[in-house]
Parts: sequence; C-alpha cells; structure tokens
Amino acid sequence: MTDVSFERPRFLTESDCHDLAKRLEGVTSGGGYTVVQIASAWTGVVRWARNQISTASDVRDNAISITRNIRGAMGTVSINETTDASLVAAARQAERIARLHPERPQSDLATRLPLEPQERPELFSEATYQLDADRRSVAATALARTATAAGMLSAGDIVVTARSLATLDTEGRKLYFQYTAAEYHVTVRDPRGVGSGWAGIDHHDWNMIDAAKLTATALDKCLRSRNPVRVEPGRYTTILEPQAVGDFMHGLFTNGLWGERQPMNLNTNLAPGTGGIGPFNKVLKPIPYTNLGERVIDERLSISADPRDPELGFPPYSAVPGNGVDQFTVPVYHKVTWIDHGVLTRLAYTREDGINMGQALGLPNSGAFRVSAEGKTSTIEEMIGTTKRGIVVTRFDSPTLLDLRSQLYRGYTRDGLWLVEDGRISKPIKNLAFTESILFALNNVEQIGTPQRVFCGSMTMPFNVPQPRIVPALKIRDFSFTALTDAV
Amino acid sequence: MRLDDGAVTTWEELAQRGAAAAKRAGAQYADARLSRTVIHPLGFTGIWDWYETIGVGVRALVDGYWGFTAVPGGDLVTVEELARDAVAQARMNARGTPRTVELGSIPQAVGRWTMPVGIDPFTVPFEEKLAMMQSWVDYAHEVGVMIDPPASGLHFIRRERVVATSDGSRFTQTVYESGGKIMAEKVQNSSLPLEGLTAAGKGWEMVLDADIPAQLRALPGRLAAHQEREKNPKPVQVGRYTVVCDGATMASLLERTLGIATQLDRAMGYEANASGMSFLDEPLEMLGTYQVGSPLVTVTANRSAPGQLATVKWDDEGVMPDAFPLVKDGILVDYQTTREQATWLAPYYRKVNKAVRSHGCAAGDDALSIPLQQMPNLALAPNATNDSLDDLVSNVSKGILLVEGKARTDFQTRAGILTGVMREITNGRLGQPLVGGALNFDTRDLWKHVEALGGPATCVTAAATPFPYPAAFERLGGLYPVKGEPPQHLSCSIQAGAAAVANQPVIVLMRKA
Repeated sequence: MTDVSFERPRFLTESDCHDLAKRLEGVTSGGGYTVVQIASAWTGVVRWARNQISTASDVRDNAISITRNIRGAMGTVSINETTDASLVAAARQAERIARLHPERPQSDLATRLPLEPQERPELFSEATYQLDADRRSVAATALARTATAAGMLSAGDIVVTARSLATLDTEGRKLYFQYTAAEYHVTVRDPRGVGSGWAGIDHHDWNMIDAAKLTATALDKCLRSRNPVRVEPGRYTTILEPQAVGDFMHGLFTNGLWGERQPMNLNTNLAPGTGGIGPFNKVLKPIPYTNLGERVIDERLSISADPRDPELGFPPYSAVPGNGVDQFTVPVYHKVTWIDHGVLTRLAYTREDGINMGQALGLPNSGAFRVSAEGKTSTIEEMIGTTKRGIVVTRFDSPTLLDLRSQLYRGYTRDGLWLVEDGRISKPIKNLAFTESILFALNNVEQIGTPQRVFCGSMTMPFNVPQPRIVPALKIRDFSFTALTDAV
Repeated sequence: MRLDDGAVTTWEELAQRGAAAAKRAGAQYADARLSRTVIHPLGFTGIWDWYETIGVGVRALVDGYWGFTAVPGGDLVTVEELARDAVAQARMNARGTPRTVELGSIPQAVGRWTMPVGIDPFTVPFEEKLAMMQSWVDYAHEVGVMIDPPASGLHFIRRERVVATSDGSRFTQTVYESGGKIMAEKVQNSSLPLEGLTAAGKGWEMVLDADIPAQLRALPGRLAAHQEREKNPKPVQVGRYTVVCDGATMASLLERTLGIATQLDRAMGYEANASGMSFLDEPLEMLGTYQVGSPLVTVTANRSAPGQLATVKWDDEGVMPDAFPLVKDGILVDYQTTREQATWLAPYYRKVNKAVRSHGCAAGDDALSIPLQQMPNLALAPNATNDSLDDLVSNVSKGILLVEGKARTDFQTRAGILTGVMREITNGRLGQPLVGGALNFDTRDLWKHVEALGGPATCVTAAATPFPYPAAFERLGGLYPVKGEPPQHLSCSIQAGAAAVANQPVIVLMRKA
C-alpha cells in the first residue's frame, strides 16, 4: 500500500523554480528587477501518544516571496501557490507596494553585487525521501510497542521532510539547494505520572537515526526517574548530558555571537531588560569595541560551524521569505570558527556590514554549531564517578533569556534528573528551575565528554532551516538551581 | 484553487467532493477544508508585507486512526487524490492495536458566516492605511513626540475557510484579526504603548476608535506621570507578599496556567512529546471535585464573544461552540474539547447530566494544518461588586502591586514565573516602585490564594496571538504557546479583571543560587 500521489515531485525542483521565475518575469510591469525566493517543502509526520498513533499527516507547502525592485523602491508579496493567476496577482500587488515607496537608486545595491560563493554540502538522503506513510506507520507502531511491553506510555514523533531553497532574480543570479531532514523524538512516561524519560535526534539521513536505541534510552530514563525526591535548590556540580548542553548553549547563537558592527540588540521581541549591549561588546562608540582575541570560555573548548562538515552538515544559506528580504540580505553561511581554544575569534555580521567594513562577504550566524574538545575526554560514567555530590541533567525545557550581557538564562530541567552522591547516582530527584549564565558555566568546566550530535528540532516548521548541533557532555562546577517544580 | 474546469462551481462543492471521495475510499468519517489566509503587517519602517496562502486539506478516519493530507491550492482531481491518500494513510496506521474514536452526533452546520466587523480592513485601500500611519508620524512631530518605528506596527488578518464533512456539514466562514502596537516617546528609550490596539476580532474601526492623534496629544502628560511613578525605585525584598495584579496580569496568568492545563489532549498526554502536559492530568477523577482555585475563581470559555479572536460560528468539525465553565467556584468542572475528545469524558458528563458534546474547540491554522484542540476565548469572572484596583490595594497591609505582568510556566503548567511592573503596598497605600522582582509561583497555590477580585471595570481583554511580531513563519518559542507537531498557534482573547493573591513568593529574578 503506498500513497497514490507519493510518486510525484513533492517539492519544487530546480527546474520548477526556474520555470516559475521565468513565468513571473513575463508578467511583471513597470521596469526594475524581480527577486523571487522560494522555500518549498514536503513534510510527512506520524505522531503517537498513549502507545497508539494519534495523528499522521503528509503536507506540501511553499513560501514564494516575490520582491519587485523598481529603482530602489521595493515591494514584497509572499504566496504559496504556483499558478499563473497567483503569480500575476502577486506581481501586481508587489508593484503596488513598491510604488508606495520612494525610489532610491543610490541604495539599490543589490543590482551591483555579485553572488556570494555558495558551499555545496550533500544533504539529500533517499532513505529520508522514501520514508512514506507506510514506512512511518510501521516504524511508529514498532517503537510504541517498546513502551507498551514495559507497561509505560510513550508519545513520539517521526518527521521526514524534503525541501528546496531557491533565490532567483532577473539579473541572472541563481541560488538553489535541496535537502532532506528527519527527526525522531520520544517521551516515555509512567502511567501514574511519576516518571518521564526522553530521547531524540535529527539528521538529514533517516538511516543515521537509531530510533530503537533512542526509544530504549527514553524508557530507561523513565524507569530510573520514577518517584523522584525533593532536593533543595542551590549550587551543584552538574553533569549536563549532551542534549542539555545543546539546549543551554543554543541561546548563545541566538543572542550572543554577534556584534562586530551592531552592538545594539534590535530585537524588540525580547523580554524587557534583555535588549542592549551584547555579551562580547565593551563600548558602543565610535567603533564598537569587542572581546575579539580574548579568552572568553574554557580553553579546552572550541566552537565552529561548517556547512560541509560531514557530521554537522547544514544548508549553505537561509532564505526565509518575507520580511522584505532581497538577495542582498540572504545569509550565506561559510566555514567559521567562532571561538578557538577558548579565545573569541569571530562575531557574526551581515553582508551589508561586511561591505561597510571593506569585505566582500557577510558572516551570518546559521545557528548550527560544533563544540569540540581538546585533550582528554570523559564518559558520563567517569564524570559521575569523580563527583562527590552533584546532579545529572537529561535536558532543559525552553531556557529564557534574562540578561543579554551576561547570557543569563532561566529554564527547567525535565525527563530525567538524578542526584549523584559519592561517585554514583543515588536517586532520581524532582525537576528544578535553573538560573545560570552560559559564559559562567563555560568557564567552570571540570570534565568534557566526546562531542556528539543532539536534537535541535524545529524541522516540522515548513520554512525553518536545520540548525544542527554537535556538543559534548560537560561537568560544570557551581551550576545554579533556583527553584523546585513538581512537574514530571 | 481552480474551479473553472466545469466539474465544480464553488469551494463548498470542492470540499464536499473531497469528503465524499474519502468516504468512498473507505473512511468512516472525513472532512475537507479549503482556506485562504491573508496576513498583512504594516510597519513604520517601510516594511509592508502581504502573505497570502491558499490550501486544501483532507482528514480521514479509518478504524479509529486518522490520516491527513494537504497541498497549496488545487482542483477536483487533486482534492480527490488527497482524499484517497488520507484514507490510505489512516488505514496503514490502523494496522496497530485496535483504537476507537467516537465522534458523537452533531447537528449539521450549513451556511455562511462572516465575523461582523465595523469596517473590513481589506476594503480599506493600502494607500489609505499608509496615509493614516504617516499622518500619525507627522502629527506626533507636531505635538513634540515621536513614534518609535521599529517597535511599532499594525497587522490585519483575514481567514476564509470552507469546511465539508461526511456528516453533511458544509459551510463557509470568514474571520478577521486586527491589532497593532504603537510605541511613542518624547526622548529616546522612554516610550509608552498607545492604547486600544490589542489584537481582536475587529476591523479597521479599531484603528479609528483608538484615536491615535488624541493619544499622541495626551502622551507628554502620560509620560510625565509615568516618570513620576517610576521615581525612587528600590530593589525588591525577597519574601512572601499579597500581590495585587491588574487585569492584564491576570489574563496572562489565566492563559498560561488554567488555559493550557484545561486542554484535554494535553491532560491526557497527547502533547507529552510536543507542547507539554497538564497538572490536571486525571480528568475523570478530578472533574467535579478537584479544587484548582479559591471559591472566588470561576473561569468560562466561549467562541462567541463579539470582537474576540477565537470567535466563530462553527469550529473546524462543524460544531457550533457553546459557552461553558471550566472552573466553577474554584472546582474543575470541564475541559476544552473536540468531537473525539468529548467522548473521553462521557462517564463524567452522564454523571452530572451534561450532554456528551464537543465544546467546538477544533481548529487548525489553516487547511494545510491538521485540526487540533485549540484554546477558545477565556474569561475570569469578575467580582459582582464594583471594586477597583485601588480598592484591592487599600485592603492590603503589606504587599506588592503588579501590573502589565507576563507569565511563563513549566511544561506541565505546575509552576512558573510572573514578571511585570511592581510597586510596594504598605497599609493600603502605594509606595515606591520595586525593581528586579518576579513571582515564583506554584500554579495551584496561586489560584487557591485569590482572596479578592476586582469588579467588571477592572476587566481587560488581552490577546494571545503570535502577531504583530513580524516573523510570521518563525517559531517564537516562549512568546506565546504553540501546540502540535508541526506547531500551530491560533489566536484567542483572554478576559480578566484585577485580583489580590495572598502569600506569594517573590524572588529576585536574576539572582543565582
């Protein structure tokens, strides 16, 4: 049994995108030039809960962003349909919006800019592309059985997606990239609500995801986390499993590693008090002065990102349509080492900032990162074995930024938290809220594990680009837990 | 969507053919949706976006298992193919352990409904909207103030939806959302939001009614009063206090705690691996007996209040939503439900002589998203007296006034953090502003300690919506609750008045252990 329509192309291919751009060119009026940005996605999902498949879906969608630029006056319209009629309507609307703007020939920079060179990582997996509803259903049913057999309840998600990203303009510039992504994550809970375990991973290749092993890990964590006892909040030597490190450090990439030219955080969506000067900026004027060249974290750690890294691999550019983006502002990702042996070596900047600094390229931050470790690494067991009293954390629930400058976050532990006493795990403990700075933690590292890929999620959102993470487990001194929660 | 091939002449007919095709392919139940959504944010920085999406989706039920397929746009051939795929998918899933889904019976929904708004914002020309916005910028300059462009904007949304079910429902529905945020200031970094633009199920009239020029004229006075109030701040002292919250704060608390916790799918673990769970996790044991708040706390839900964001005539399953209590006099009495979920509570409903029926909370972002149980409009019933915020303050000997508060909770809504603008209360009088504090609340403890409510005059209607944030397609973790996989985020309105909450732990937010 296979889907009737599964054999058809499930996202816009390179020739579809070129055809669309050509059809669009034929219907524009008023001169100037046109940029079309396309994100096209097929996404197959199976979800289960209480050990039974609860929903499943197979969805195709596009975000086609059409920008008409008439002598620097721009109008952008986003649509998802590819018919001639919808292209005509979108072009007319974009031209109408453009006409409402003043013409600014002098700022029409995009017309003069060559394309940035683009990396070509291989991120298209047939195994992911061929994981149809039938295969997803078989996998989900088998995985749910593990929890059933143990008398536990599981809820899980298998997501597979194939996507293309294209940017095309009437000046002849073309960017196209296609990739797949797969993710598996599962929560196993005690039916009495007294224990919970979780495991998950994502990869462009479904074959690289050992779903059975992850399910066993989630089940094991659930069983071992049952009937937690209360320990008082406070500072603990804390062993962060790789997933917890990934959850925690992600904020540094969203809120921290920028500022060579833009020290003010202009993100008005942040909570009050979180705007202002970035963590690696010292003063504002005349030229933003940064901590570049200074040691900012433990010198055994380096942080880098490379779209072509065979283990990390991520799309070489992002084209989130809308927001008035034109080709000029498409972030193209390059190989970069942000922090080298603890020393801050680079901070992100846009291409516009790069040109203002006399450089041809931008250095945008993709959000993907690899944390590598120098010297001896330790297993989690070795970290536990050398701990007199401490806490082991499976993962964190949505850390919230409290202070931009110190990278202070607050969030909760979840799905497996244990007390370590005299070199061994002594008991499961109730979840805790933490209030801690990433920079403080990364300067209080006792032991480092072997870096491994962890779950980044978000691939179900049709227009998100993967931001994979490779991180080690870390044993941190004096990690600050500030409150208890009864949430299991 | 192509209707010109002669095979179908209306969207409703196309949807109906989709549902019928699924039924022919073996579905016990099916529904098909067509949607056209326009999202139109207008910034003050020259960013005027226009997102228009169109979609068709078919959902099918076979032997207790669902399948769902969707594409952007399409014709009769596509829709019938989607229907067969949805059925095939459901059938594959049904190879697992037997599962029963009972949908109960519902009246057929037939007809057309358009949310009544004063002025359809999509009939107001783009040029007129921009001219209006420019006139505010100019006028602000004239009266010696400024609008902060990056922090300000308007947004308008129109969602047209056609639904046909294999039960015979067939309807067309259009809803609107209008809202915005305008920050204005006299000197930089001292801006205040103008009022009257909270997102709502309204039209362009909201913008006219807000009378922005009058607000700009009054701004210097407001700013001066605000600065006076902010004078001599002192650090908050950690401890337990009676906290008097304004309506906006109670609305945020209601949304993030009881609003999320009374979603039946979350309570039953269906969202355990996605948006999270609920501390109200034993529905059949807790309903009718479990105390979630003080006897003053009554929370009702509706999808019918005029001008509110979740208001519809029919939900995505053709159910006409009812207004229903979730918490009555402090006791949990119901959950938010869809057709499938309502039958999970049948033993309780029968025991208390309530009809086993969906409350009409099924909704998807659009036809490309699988319908889920989504939050309806919520209301915290005010006190029948006319107590004002000042009256509540005057009854507190040692406490804190907290206004414009925002709550965040853990994944089970058991505990959370409430931040906002704080001021000390001593012997019934307001004292100095307090800085650096937050309420580190336990959800159940907080609602149980509600010891006084303000009257209807303290009520505000807040919006739980991802807009007007510009990045319409990005997941904005933490700013508003999302649900499902892929995550969805429907808008709803939350109405609440002021309250005094005793014995609440106040912490210094940024203090580490």
